Amino acid sequence: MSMISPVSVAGRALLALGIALFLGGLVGSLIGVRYSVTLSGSETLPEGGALSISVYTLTSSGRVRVEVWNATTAYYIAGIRGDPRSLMKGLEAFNISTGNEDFRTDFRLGVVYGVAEVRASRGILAALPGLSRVLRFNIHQLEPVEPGHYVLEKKLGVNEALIFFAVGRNVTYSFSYSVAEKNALAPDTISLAGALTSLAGLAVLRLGVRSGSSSRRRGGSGP
Amino acid sequence: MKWPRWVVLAYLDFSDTLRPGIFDALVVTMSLVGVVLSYLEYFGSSPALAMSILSPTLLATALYLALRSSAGLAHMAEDRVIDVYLSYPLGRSIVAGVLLVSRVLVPASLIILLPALAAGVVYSPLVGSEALHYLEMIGAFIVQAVFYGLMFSVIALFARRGSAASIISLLTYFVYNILGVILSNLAESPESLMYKLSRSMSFYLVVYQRLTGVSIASPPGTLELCFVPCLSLALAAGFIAYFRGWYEP
Repeated sequence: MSMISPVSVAGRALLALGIALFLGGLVGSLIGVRYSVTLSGSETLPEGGALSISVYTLTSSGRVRVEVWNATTAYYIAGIRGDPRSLMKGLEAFNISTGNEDFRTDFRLGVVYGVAEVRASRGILAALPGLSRVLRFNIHQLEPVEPGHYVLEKKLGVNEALIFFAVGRNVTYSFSYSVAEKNALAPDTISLAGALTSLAGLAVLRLGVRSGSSSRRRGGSGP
Repeated sequence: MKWPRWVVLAYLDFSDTLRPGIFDALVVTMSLVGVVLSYLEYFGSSPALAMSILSPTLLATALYLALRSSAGLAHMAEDRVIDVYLSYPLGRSIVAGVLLVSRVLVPASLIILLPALAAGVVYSPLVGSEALHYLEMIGAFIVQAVFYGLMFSVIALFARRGSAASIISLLTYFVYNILGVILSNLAESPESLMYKLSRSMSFYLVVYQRLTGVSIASPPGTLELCFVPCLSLALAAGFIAYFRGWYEP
């Protein structure tokens, strides 16, 4: 049984790390790195209906931008902790229900987002800001940037949600979410670092073999 | 330079536990999984990164310790190699300590550390700013892996046969983890003793919840934090005491 020296263990560890980084960087280049997501479309809503756009961060924090056109009024609720869909369920007590939900979970970005149709009487929707005290959330009314055109930009922390309501008949919307910080290095950089680490590992292994053979020539004992 | 005898014995044992081949393949695979997972998911905090990368690595480490380290120890008894170890002019406690270091501590640390290092390189801007939290999480996973390794080593001492040791070790690992799930499912509330016991069975989960505050229950207390380390110390003490006093190869 041949003895394993610390130098050879360090060399093998460096080589293993280098190979993993090199191959991982190549796989990273193939799958790509994603930092933002967008969603857009238009919805025809029933009389007194509204469109809700929700976003809920799971593991990331970032910036949300919601833009709507052809809306008569727009509201938003920010600073919600946890899944906003549970808050929407709570609104059913006020005859505000949701349907045609299209929610998507993006695990790569760590965010849940989607649109839903809000069904309620026009009176209830107009009174939405008044529900703030009951719901213990501030429901803010947005000012239009031009008639029918509303824009909201907000920062979201980890595990935080935002719900945007746009009242109207034919609402066109655009939603984007981009992460706050690009925390990962580029895959090409990782591949290069992997190649260099592998070379360093090979050099250390070679050094271990040399020192081992010279130690044997000197007739040294022990590891 | 003359090396202490226990170091020579440790080197001799490393030649079995860190034998090239399976060990290197496992480390490369788990590090590669770590890098790919880092690109597949976005992480906003270093404990979340460690949790995601090291959870699959912990399973691989436990399997390695059960099939290679623990079964290897039993094989040594079966093939009478342990007699050679015991013929060294060293106390039995020291031989037992060396076995624990070379069969549990070093392999477990290396298998956990390298994927963590690979993911840390990918997420270096994040890990650099939260280095301490990342290191705490790595330490927590190593403690959990060492705990499994100690459990398997005790089993190997009693099983004495390599195949029996690996099967019983694997069974114990799965029973331990399933027991955690059963306890959390039986718990009436997140504040109940059963839930806390199930949570404390996973040291890395306790550390993660203390660092991030992400938990359905109140943050874990000191007793929950001490559960796995205390069990590990008890297992190590038990291993050394049995090896010293009663073990006959």
